[in-house]
Amino acid sequence: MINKRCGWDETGAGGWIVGLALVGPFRFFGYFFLKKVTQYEKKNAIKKFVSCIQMIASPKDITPLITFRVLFGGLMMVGALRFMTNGWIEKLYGEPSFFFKFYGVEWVTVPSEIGIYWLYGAIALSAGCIMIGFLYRIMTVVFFLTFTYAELLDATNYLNHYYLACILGLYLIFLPAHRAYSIDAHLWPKIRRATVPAWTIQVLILQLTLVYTWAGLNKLNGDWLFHAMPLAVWLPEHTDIPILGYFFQFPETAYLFSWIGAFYDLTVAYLLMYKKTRMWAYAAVVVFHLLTNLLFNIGLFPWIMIFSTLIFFPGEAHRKVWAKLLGAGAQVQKSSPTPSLKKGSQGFPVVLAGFLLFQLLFPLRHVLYPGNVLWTEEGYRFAWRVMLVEKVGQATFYVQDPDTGRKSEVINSHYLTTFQEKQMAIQPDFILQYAHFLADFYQRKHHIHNPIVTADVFVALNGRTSRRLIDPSVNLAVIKDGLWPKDFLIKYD
Amino acid sequence: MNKYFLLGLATLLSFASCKMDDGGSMPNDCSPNFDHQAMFRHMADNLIIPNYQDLQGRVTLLSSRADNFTNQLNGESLHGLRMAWLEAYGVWQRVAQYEFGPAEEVLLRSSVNNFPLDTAVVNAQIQSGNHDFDLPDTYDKGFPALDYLLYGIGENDSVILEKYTTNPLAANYITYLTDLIADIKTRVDHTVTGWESTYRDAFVQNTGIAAGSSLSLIINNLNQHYELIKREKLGVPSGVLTLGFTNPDKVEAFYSGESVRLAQVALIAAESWYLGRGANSVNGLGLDDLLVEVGAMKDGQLLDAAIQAQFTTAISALNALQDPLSDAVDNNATAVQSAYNEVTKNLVNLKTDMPSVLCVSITYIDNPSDSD
Repeated sequence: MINKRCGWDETGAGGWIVGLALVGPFRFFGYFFLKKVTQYEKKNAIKKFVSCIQMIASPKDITPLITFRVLFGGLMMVGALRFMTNGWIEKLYGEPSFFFKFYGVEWVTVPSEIGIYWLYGAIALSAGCIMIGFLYRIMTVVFFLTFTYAELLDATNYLNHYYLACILGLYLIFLPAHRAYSIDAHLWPKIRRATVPAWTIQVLILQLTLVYTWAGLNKLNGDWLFHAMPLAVWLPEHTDIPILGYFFQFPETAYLFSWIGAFYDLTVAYLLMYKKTRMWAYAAVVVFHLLTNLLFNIGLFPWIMIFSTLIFFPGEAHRKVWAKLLGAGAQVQKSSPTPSLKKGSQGFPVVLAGFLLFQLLFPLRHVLYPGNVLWTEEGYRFAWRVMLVEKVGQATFYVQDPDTGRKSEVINSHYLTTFQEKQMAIQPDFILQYAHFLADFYQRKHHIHNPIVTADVFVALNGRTSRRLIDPSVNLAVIKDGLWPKDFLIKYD
Repeated sequence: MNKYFLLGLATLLSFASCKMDDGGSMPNDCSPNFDHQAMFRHMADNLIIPNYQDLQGRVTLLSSRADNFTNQLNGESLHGLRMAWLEAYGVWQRVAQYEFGPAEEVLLRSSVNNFPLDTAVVNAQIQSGNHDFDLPDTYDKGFPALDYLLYGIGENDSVILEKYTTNPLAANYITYLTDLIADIKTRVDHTVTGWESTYRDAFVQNTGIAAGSSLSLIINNLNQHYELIKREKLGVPSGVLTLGFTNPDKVEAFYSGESVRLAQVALIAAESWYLGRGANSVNGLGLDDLLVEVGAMKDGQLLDAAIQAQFTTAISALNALQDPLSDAVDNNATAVQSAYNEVTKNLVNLKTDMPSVLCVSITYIDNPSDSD
């Protein structure tokens, strides 16, 4: 076992988790600051740590990366084409006249419908090129930039799996997934490799592990575990599914699914790391995600996970499949035997470790905000909160002219699509953005100076009756958006 | 190394669980012990179908009064026609909320009661003698167009009668009038036939909480109806949506001046549907019983009690208004504003709380793409 001194599992990814995320700081602290250890122990610790670092640079079969590249590229291409052919460009970008933004990237402008077709065309094209490995280094950059830009256009459409696709796209830029079984490797034999440094594969394993783990941890709340919410609302909507649908009428099914879902998310990545449990875990991946695909309107997400988790399988398995599909891979055999990192790229694992640490901690930022994150939605996004709440909101805005005292209720449908209105009514930062838009609009169109914008917002969370989300007396027009806790929110307690 | 892993996991777990603790009230049970089919049966047999049959009868009478009028063009037959129109319009307010199934097939609501009327369109069509009420984007027809033709085309009855008798376009006026009524009749007949033949059973058997289930249809359509009362019948005319500048000409039934009366019928109809109060005034199974069964509480009282009390308050606030509403919006603005506010207060109960506790989604707001 190549990594027995450092890792604790068979993919080697555990070495990262333990070494960099948890044990690393502990060890440094324990051995170098407390000084309660012998010189020998100190040396041994350093040795172990170094061996961990060496381990992540050890050569691994390239083929898991190839599988990932081909499936991810293909899926993203299909996704972009599907987006265009479903008419979603018209619906999501043609119909609205106002777009919600993520904090910090308000400058993103929405191009014309034609422009967005070009954008999605570029996503599809670059994803296709990634799949076949043509101009890989350029196309991964193009894909990441275009895809991310598309996601920044209107925050209304934020989905966790789009965020995941952005991150995976970002990783691909730095991973040598084009060095075998690709057009590039065919055209430029110099770049061919049979092996890659272990970290290039481990980093994807770790990212997926984080996604699952956070999704699982997020499910550990009272509503999910003890009220089977929101599955108790969603499952009975599907009683028309043959056989399985029969069970959805019973509340017990929702509880069963909630607990299984939480257990699955918390454990599956770790079970995928061990040879003994891997096949069973992967079978669970397939069944679980196909089931969610059947039940919920979640598009590409199940396929992203079913395809991506193949990265947990060892190189031999991938190589066998590729050899069967495309021959022994003559191009690989000719490749150089030394996969060691080039000078200058040795810093990558460190940068990646930093990014992974960020990925580990960022979903936890909601602890910095007061109140329940499911209610306030402060720190809600980018944290793998998947299918966690059923919310119904109703937001009535009022604009008042401070000079004349004249007041108007706003008809939201004049400015927002029904989908945007639905999303706005439950998310405080959208409420604020919309209030600012209204203030600006009434200033321009009705020549009201510094209009006062207030909103009465009621939200019902997970099958409860509604409550006020924000203080209806606050003039939202003068409140700046920011990362500080929004004090116009009414806490849930 | 496993212990480190477990240690880490335990740390994360404790982080997550302490934060996610739910301090609020408990969610409700989505699957109460309630006979949905019995409620649907009661609603179909004692509310929806009798009300539609009533409307069908009134529209038939309207049609024959129109024949009577065109045969004998005088003040008496005009009066008879107007009375039949008003009664049919009143019964329409009771069924306007059932805009699903057969009614949806013929776009009943937007065909028979789209207001305010664009008189320029109507006048042009009468002038040219060309009109086709079957075209998909013709909205200026139905009861509001009749309101104009029976009350609005002249300042008094003799001027109005003149349009149908000695006016050079008299024939066009008469054709337009009878075609308007025929269009209403066709659509109402289609709806009644639909309910009497197959839709009734389909409605009763369509259980569950999914989009398109009968419960979802009831809640969604009741809410749409309620929002139309709030916005179109009261909100737009009173000026609450236009910085307090009133729009008296945008009231329902502007020319006859019967707006308040019609709004009252519509609001009581919404209450009746909620309560399951039949055409014979017998209060059977309704959404109120379902909410009580679920045990939904709001602000320390039963949600049902809150809804019923607010219906009562809203109805009495509306009863305090006097026709014509087009005058009241300016001369009695406070009362109109108060009626609007009281009607509005129930909207959050009906549109946000009720669907939430019954686990029914508001389906006229749907995700256009994927969700996660």
